[in-house]
Amino acid sequence: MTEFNQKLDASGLNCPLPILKARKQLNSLETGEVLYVVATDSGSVKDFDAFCKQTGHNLLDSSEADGKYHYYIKKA
Amino acid sequence: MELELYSQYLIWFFCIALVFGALANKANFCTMGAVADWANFGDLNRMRSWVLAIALTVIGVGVLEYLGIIDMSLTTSVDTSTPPYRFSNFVWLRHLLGGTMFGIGMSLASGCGNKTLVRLGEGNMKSLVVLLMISSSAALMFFTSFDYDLFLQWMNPLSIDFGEMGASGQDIASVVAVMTGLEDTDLLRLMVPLTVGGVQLVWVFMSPEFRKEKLLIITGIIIGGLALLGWYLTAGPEGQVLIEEIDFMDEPPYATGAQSVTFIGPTAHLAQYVYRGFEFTYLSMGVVLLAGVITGSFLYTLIFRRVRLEWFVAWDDFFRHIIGGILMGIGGVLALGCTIGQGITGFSTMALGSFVSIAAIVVSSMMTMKYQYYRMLHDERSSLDAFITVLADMHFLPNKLRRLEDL
Repeated sequence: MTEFNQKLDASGLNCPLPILKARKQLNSLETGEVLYVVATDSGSVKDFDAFCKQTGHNLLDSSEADGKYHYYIKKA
Repeated sequence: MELELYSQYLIWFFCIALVFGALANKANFCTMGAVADWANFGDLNRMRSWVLAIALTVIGVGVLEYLGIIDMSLTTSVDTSTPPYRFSNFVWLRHLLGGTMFGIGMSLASGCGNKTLVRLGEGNMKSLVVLLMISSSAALMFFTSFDYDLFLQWMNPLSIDFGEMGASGQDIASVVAVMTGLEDTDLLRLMVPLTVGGVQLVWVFMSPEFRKEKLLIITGIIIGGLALLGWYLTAGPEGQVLIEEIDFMDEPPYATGAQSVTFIGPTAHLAQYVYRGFEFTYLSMGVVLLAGVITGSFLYTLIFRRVRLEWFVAWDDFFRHIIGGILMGIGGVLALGCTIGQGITGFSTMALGSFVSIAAIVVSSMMTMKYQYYRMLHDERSSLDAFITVLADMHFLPNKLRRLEDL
């Protein structure tokens, strides 16, 4: 299991709220720290992939388990 | 015999919508998402996919109209089209305000009309509530005097009637012809879409990053093709026969005429179809479109993903979706369409109203997302601070007036 510094539970929220909340929470992290995001919106898979590509943050892991989507984002 | 032809149209529209729904689900095609990606982290890939669909429909309609294969003059009258995008009286305020309301609404309700249907097909019950809100508020606009009392009675006097100036419609070619005295409107009706669509295609493919996005490219091409197919079917040779046949029917079907893919007007048709006890006469092509998108998305989810039932997580989430749905229903009818109905189908007619509607939708949606972000980031500061900062972000105010920083 990937280690993380902060967790964001975006379960039940749809686009664009998971990304907006992740953006906000990443602001409070130091470079190199990891944000763990849990979401239920199926669109969030492509959203977080595009978000990380565009902003330069490192998407360490993206997976689906227990009906939820899990993302580990390392702040650039 | 007459009903047989109409039934064929219903089947065609169901098939178009089935592909639309499945593809939108697979590719995460979402017009609100396109604006969100742009506003939140500067990604334009989904926007380019949407613009690709627009460009292909624009060029396709222009060429088919020039060749005389489709008769787009049908879209100047409410008797021969649904809705009449090129109606000669340009009520610009309805597009501006309606588009603005729709843009805010779709940002609050997790997506536009099409995305709401796609989500519903995935099992998202929040979208069912949004659909009910869109449908009931759109029906209020369609079937009562609410639209006139609240909006049109003060908007109509401020409209520009191009018909009085001698133009046959509000499409750019007709307006330019009447302004400049050019007589060859047919050639203009080819040159304008070729120019607009051509510029759009250049913008779409100038991005090396987008050129690698095969799925988004294919999605844009197919969705543009489906919208074009809708126009060919309803404004082409067979469509014109259908319009003539319907003229002689004792009980003509509802909301026929030239049309293509659009989602907000049909939600009002859906309300009426239910209210009338599912009478076949009220089973419009639009209602079939709604059913097709939901079914397409559902089948895709069933085969390739897993149906997951979703419900609201908090009261504020619930109220946000309710307000968003109402704004989309009212705004969508006022603007004569949504991000697909005006953004692709309407835009392809080169009607001025479509340009205003889609610009208002994109700008207001982007402002809403930025507002949400600043409120989230600086929850100790006032709504006014966030709003003024958004206006500065959008260059509507000088940057020195911004009150909040983007951390």
